[in-house]
Amino acid sequence: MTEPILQVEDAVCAFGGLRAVDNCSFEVEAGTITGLIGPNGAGKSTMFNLITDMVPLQSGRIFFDGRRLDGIPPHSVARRGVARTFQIPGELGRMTVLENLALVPEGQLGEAMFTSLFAPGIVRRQEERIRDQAREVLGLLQLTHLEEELAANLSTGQKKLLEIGRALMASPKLVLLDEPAAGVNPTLMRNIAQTIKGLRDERGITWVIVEHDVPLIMEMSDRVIVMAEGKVIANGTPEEVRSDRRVLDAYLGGVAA
Amino acid sequence: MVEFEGIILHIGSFLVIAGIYAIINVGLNVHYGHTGLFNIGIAAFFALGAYTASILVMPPPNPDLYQRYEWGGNLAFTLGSERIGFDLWFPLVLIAAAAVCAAVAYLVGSVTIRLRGDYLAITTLGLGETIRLVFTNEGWLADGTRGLNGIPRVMDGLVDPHWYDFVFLPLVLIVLVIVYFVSQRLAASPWGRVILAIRENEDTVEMVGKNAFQFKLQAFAYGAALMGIGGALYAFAKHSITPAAFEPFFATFIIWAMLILGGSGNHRGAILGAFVLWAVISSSQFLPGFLGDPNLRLAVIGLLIVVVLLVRPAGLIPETRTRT
Ligand SMILES: Nc1ncnc2c1ncn2[C@@H]1O[C@H](COP(=O)(O)OP(=O)(O)OP(=O)(O)O)[C@@H](O)[C@H]1O
Ligand SMILES: [Mg+2]
Repeated sequence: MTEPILQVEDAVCAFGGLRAVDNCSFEVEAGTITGLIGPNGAGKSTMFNLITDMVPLQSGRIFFDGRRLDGIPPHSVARRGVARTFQIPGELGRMTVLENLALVPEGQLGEAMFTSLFAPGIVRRQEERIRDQAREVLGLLQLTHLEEELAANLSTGQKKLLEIGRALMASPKLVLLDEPAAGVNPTLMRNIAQTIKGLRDERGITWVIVEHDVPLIMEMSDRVIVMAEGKVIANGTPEEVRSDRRVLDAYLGGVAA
Repeated sequence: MVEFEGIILHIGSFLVIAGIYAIINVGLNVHYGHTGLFNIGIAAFFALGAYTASILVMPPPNPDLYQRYEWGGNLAFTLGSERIGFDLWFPLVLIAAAAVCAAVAYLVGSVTIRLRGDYLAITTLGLGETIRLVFTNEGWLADGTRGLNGIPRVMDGLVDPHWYDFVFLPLVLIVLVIVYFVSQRLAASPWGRVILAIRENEDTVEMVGKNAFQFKLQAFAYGAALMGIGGALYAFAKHSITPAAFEPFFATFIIWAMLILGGSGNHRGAILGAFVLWAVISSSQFLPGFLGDPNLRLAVIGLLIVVVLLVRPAGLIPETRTRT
């Protein structure tokens, strides 16, 4: 196994008496797609919140690219190359779809007040490149026709796509997708799954995907991690996980019942 | 004829004060309309700008006349008009007022701006009251409750003092136009995009690698600087200031009413709101009988806002996002 890009060691996060994440450990190899599944309330979204430091880790450690990731502000996590989407979309409602994406890229000179006021030419040229990049991403997500629409007016599925678009705009090393398929047209989702695999292979982007569509996850993932009640109960290839007794009991069994 | 002259004079003073409120209101729109910062301590920066400007240009006080009051900068006399034919001190004083307000906002903001919504509101309200009480109680600074009188005026002596508003008005309007264009350019820039995004969803902004705290601090300081410029102009327009002028009603709440009326989220609405509401307030004194009662103004303002918001919920000029 090559160097893991993400390591979670004994992560704990409790809300009052509820241990939402209870001593979880796992590793994610660079350039792979990892599915993270488990029943409602298993602690999957909380795990993403811990990795991105949106919720503080109470004990344990998280490493990304060999460096500690816990205990730094979320924007620093993002700058290290981690992008994420939110289960409940975090769209910027009173801004256009294109603006939502153009916000993302790092190193925008126009983000300095001084440059925006006194060097508008440089800012404009950079802005044109950023918009071209945003339009490319919109094309990929089949949202081109909504470029000038306010994000608040999108359907839930379209907002989910915009979440993915925002992650793609960041040129990340690791992307955490929280239920990207919910509300998205299944055909389009299969296309997006192909795009995700393409980005893994061509750009070496690492993906961790939380998704309730188990067949989709099994089909696209290199490895699958299963959580239940805050704990990691299985971790292996899709085949291994599919036949794991505990998984069938805790998760798939629960769904079938 | 006398009556006609009275109306002209009234219009002059109306436009000067409305223009000043418009400048301050652009600052509030940067804070609330764009960044989503709930600042109800506008009075803090309004007063700080006015006092900074006045203290800089007032001559040092005569020790025989004052027991405690000791300050005064005399900048207006040192850099007076006779040297170059224009009152050079005037733009310098505006810049100084802006700088003091930006610095205070930056310091206060660095400990309070992380607070969300109503908590920030309460700290700003406290700041407004604190600044006013400092100028009330520290007599050596600006003569306490008696305030500063005979503040030197820019381009004084050009016309009969009676008509001074018409000398000052073009200056106020020039400053308003500059403030408008600078703020517009910032709002349309990538900086403005981050600011707006913070208003919409701060978590999203953080998750795309922007330090929301730093941007909020910059917006807070910039908006405060505009309020300070408005305060400085106010001191020159009124020729005298006292701490009572910066009580929350006229120095904070009226400005909020102007923003809501005009349309929060766009500078044009903020400016229009200032002119419309000040027109209503300043002309209500001409209403016949009990309608002219100053105490009734509050009710008139309230009624006006209710009516406008019923007809146009987003204000007179709603926020539009045509460009990206
Ligand atoms: N901020 C919070 N405060 C209190 N409890 C929380 C908080 N966030 C999550 N929880 C609780 O922690 C547990 C795990 O929640 P989490 O959202 O991580 O589950 P999940 O696996 O993502 O579930 P789902 O599939 O429904 O999205 C739940 O019981 C949830 O109610
Ligand atoms: Mg979840």
